[in-house]
Amino acid sequence: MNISYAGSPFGFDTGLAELGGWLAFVLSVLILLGLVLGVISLVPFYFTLLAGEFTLFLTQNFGRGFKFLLISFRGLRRNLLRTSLTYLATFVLTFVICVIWSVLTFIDLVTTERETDFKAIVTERYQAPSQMPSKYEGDIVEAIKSLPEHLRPANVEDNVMTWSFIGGSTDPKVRSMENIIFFFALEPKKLLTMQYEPGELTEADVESLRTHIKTMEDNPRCVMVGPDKLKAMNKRVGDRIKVYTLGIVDIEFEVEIIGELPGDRMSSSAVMNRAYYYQSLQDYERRTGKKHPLEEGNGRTLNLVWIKLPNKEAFEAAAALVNDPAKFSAPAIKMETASSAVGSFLEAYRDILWGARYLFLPAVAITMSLVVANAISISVRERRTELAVLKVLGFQPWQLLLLVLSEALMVGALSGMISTGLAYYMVNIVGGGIKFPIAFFPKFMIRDSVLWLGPLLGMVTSLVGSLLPAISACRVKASNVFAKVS
Amino acid sequence: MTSLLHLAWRALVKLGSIIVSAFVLGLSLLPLSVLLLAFPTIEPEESVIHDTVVPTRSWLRRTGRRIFAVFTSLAVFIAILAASVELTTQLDLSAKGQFGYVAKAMLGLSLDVFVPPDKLAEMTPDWQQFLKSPIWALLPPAMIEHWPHVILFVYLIDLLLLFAVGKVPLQYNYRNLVVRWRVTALTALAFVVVVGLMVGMLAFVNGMNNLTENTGVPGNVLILSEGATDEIFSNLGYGELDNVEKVVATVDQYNRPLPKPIGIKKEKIGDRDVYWASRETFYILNQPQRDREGNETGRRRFVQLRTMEDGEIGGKVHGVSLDGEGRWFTRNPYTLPNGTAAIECVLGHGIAGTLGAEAGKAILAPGDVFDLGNENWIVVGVMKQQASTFGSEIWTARQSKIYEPFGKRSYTTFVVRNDTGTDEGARILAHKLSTDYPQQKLKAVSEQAYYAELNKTNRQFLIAFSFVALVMSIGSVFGVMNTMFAAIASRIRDIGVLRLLGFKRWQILVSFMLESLLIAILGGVLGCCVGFFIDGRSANGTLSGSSGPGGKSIVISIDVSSEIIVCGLLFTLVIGRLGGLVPALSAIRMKMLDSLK
Repeated sequence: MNISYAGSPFGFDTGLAELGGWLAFVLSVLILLGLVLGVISLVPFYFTLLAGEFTLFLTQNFGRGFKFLLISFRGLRRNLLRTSLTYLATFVLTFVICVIWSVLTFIDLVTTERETDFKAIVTERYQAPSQMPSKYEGDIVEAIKSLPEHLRPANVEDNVMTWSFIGGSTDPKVRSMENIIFFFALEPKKLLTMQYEPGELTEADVESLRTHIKTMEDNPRCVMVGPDKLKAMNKRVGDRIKVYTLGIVDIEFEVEIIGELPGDRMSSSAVMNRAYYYQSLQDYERRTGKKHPLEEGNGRTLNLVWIKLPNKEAFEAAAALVNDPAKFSAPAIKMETASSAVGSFLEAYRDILWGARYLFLPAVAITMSLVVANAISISVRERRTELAVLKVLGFQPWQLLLLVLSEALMVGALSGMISTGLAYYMVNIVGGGIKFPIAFFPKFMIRDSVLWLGPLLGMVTSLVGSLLPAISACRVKASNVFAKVS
Repeated sequence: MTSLLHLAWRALVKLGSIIVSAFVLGLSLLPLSVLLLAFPTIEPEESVIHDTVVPTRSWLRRTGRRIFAVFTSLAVFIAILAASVELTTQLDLSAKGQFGYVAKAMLGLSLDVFVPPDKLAEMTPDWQQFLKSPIWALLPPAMIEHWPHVILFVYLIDLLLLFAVGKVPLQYNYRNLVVRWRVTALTALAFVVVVGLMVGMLAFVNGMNNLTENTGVPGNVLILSEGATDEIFSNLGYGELDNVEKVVATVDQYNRPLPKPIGIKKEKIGDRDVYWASRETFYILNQPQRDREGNETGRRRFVQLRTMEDGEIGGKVHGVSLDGEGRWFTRNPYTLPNGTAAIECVLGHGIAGTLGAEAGKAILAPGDVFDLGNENWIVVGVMKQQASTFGSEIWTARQSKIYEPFGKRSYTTFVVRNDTGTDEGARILAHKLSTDYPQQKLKAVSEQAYYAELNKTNRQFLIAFSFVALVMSIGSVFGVMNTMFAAIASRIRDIGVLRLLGFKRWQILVSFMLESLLIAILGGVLGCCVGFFIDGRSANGTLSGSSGPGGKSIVISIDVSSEIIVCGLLFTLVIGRLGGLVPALSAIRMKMLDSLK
């Protein structure tokens, strides 16, 4: 390997000293962050422990169970350092599990077939990205209308939405993620009926969206852009931008951003009135005297059709009509459920997701159990004399077992609870989600279910880790105490 | 008010102690021998080199000892680092390291930010250049590109130095680890899991890196339609392409005349000159997945198909060759034994494995048939296994049976090899084609640049995996600390006895640090071995660029390289040091008589 470095005015290479100092600085900052996190999380932990102990102290006369629990709480205070370290190790590992688990459950959710309110997608049968003639929209609507009444939606037109993909850049020369924008060209009114799931938006969002839809219908050049995309492009509501298209020859769009798209799902997307798109293609024909290449032959301006269907039976009946090559042949198309379509895009991530689910999560859980097992076994070994004294005082083996288990369970439950609570707050409320784009999901939120999973996970791993040390604790012989004294 | 001030003062003191602790922990990653030599800075009455140090009451002498200790340790640190850089340089490593850009990102700061602009303007050009260079540009390349090797060498040399100095009760530590084997094993097992996971995650990213780095051929120019961010969005059907082969660049990107014009490489085949140019159409097709009985599972996958005019030329241009018994496809229809027609195709090694799994085979081979898009396909060749994105593609001849049903008639990609065969030549020719091809607006890039750009996903995964590894390492550090604190708590008397026997505090510190390092190394080496089991296994993945939409589905060969093993070991040593330092410090703070009480 050749060694060469920029000349130094000192006449010798100063790099070694610089690197040493720099590394020490960076590592100190990283460790400081770790410590701050530890201090922040330890405060609620010990506060909860002290509050619990105080409550049990006041209620200890209510029964033997309360007294027993009080002993467990006090046991945790015996070695604050060990309790803190075990808690912190469980805390960070639970945090990792919660984040990964949230991503996996979200993916499970979007790839699981529903039984009702089916969302189906119609695309080109073989090719991606799909490109279909615009007349297919009418043909598909007619096909759905031909379904028996109990299988078709109440108002077919309201339950069909088309998407045309328009990619463009605000800079015609240098294209980057900062200046590239992707529009879904659609009928603005479908934003309310088809784009969002029921309950996904707040009342205020719906009202604001309604106003923007009206503006987009009045002026087709008005567009809405997701907040993350606006931020990435350094644009704001009210800005006018010129979009130089990618792959749509000789068409440019001049649009005005009139609002932000609500909802986390659309935070990196943008929507445009499809009327403006079609108008631009007609303008091209007027300007050049020939059809735009995308409209040659049958045309290829329609990329995707969404259809809402009442149930699985309706979906199967509609799919049989749409998938029929005799009806739709140039090109052939297919209808599939939204979950199936998402699954196709996630196929490329199959092994990564498999690894995360079946290797990573169990491995982290095992590490948690090992850390707890280590800590509890050290604790039991150090307290053998004390445990023997308890036996002399009349404690049964199962009570000693419970004593050790309850200490581990308390640490596990509390660390799980605080870790998931903090993860939920920091990621969802402060951070606005985990920005890890997979397929067309720009970011992931920590799921609500994590709030019960965290404590449960902490308890289960603690239980598994402390079982063997607890069994060894209950096998302590009462004679141990005398052996020590003698 | 007074109590508030008091509270604020206490909070400030606490914060100060946290910062100092963090700094101490940061220092713990420095070589132990360096730290020990710096020990007299805090305790001028103790020395590492000599057994006895003459006590002195003179402030001046004590300060002199402190200053001397600082300089000695700094000199040793620089010597160890220099030796490590030299050793790394002597290794047969590639010029570009897998983790090089991590160092570049961390050391991207230039020193001119600390100098007022007017002062900077007054300086000599040498000084200005020096101050404006990012820190990484001032360092030896080995230190940047292969920093895990350098740091690992630093730690190894450090261990050798410590052993050379001797005087540490190593036998005592070893016996303790054996006697407390359960705790040792539990802690080491946690390391095995964490390090094994980390090695696996990094090996996956390494597999992706290999694909993006190995796919582009130096000298190739990839031509797309203007505005296309990826092959799939490209459409070269809006103008003539006939003159592309005849384009010759006589000036470079800066309009400077070239010593020799650069054109497309030609080869005499038979009696005609054939250009090394491949006209291709790239498709992404949706294929239903099947179980081993041939029934559709309801799931679909995206399959990448590339059609070309001439497979042999295409193979030459892309540097792809076939496994022994295969041949390149023809455009002629192939008739299967049952009388139905099939399309001849060549499969990449990865996709041959994916399709083979459905047919109950390890891999599809020449003569095997599969179906895709209402057509039967007969495999006539399988590409040689190499880390390349083409390994995930199906290649066949351009024909109406494909472009009519799939609706893509025009070319998407034109790949040419320039006659210099260099990447520089490719960049010059790409510039010429992008700016001066009158028949059609083109976007031409050097193929190496195109595939190097497709590494956004790699970085995304590397950042995510690094974050996970960092968080898990924090968990592991706490685990080791727990063990070491317990070890020290149960051996307080032993420490007292050791001190009475004449062992110095620094020797006790080194003794406990080495104990924690030994546990870590034991677990780390086993973890690397566990991670090594996945070496060479295939996994699905995806690649995408940072300049816009598009990307490719790929089949990755997971690669546990030496750099990853080095990184795993380094990770182990760092955790062992961080986990061992604080307990070891608590051990040396004990007073001799107190520990014997």
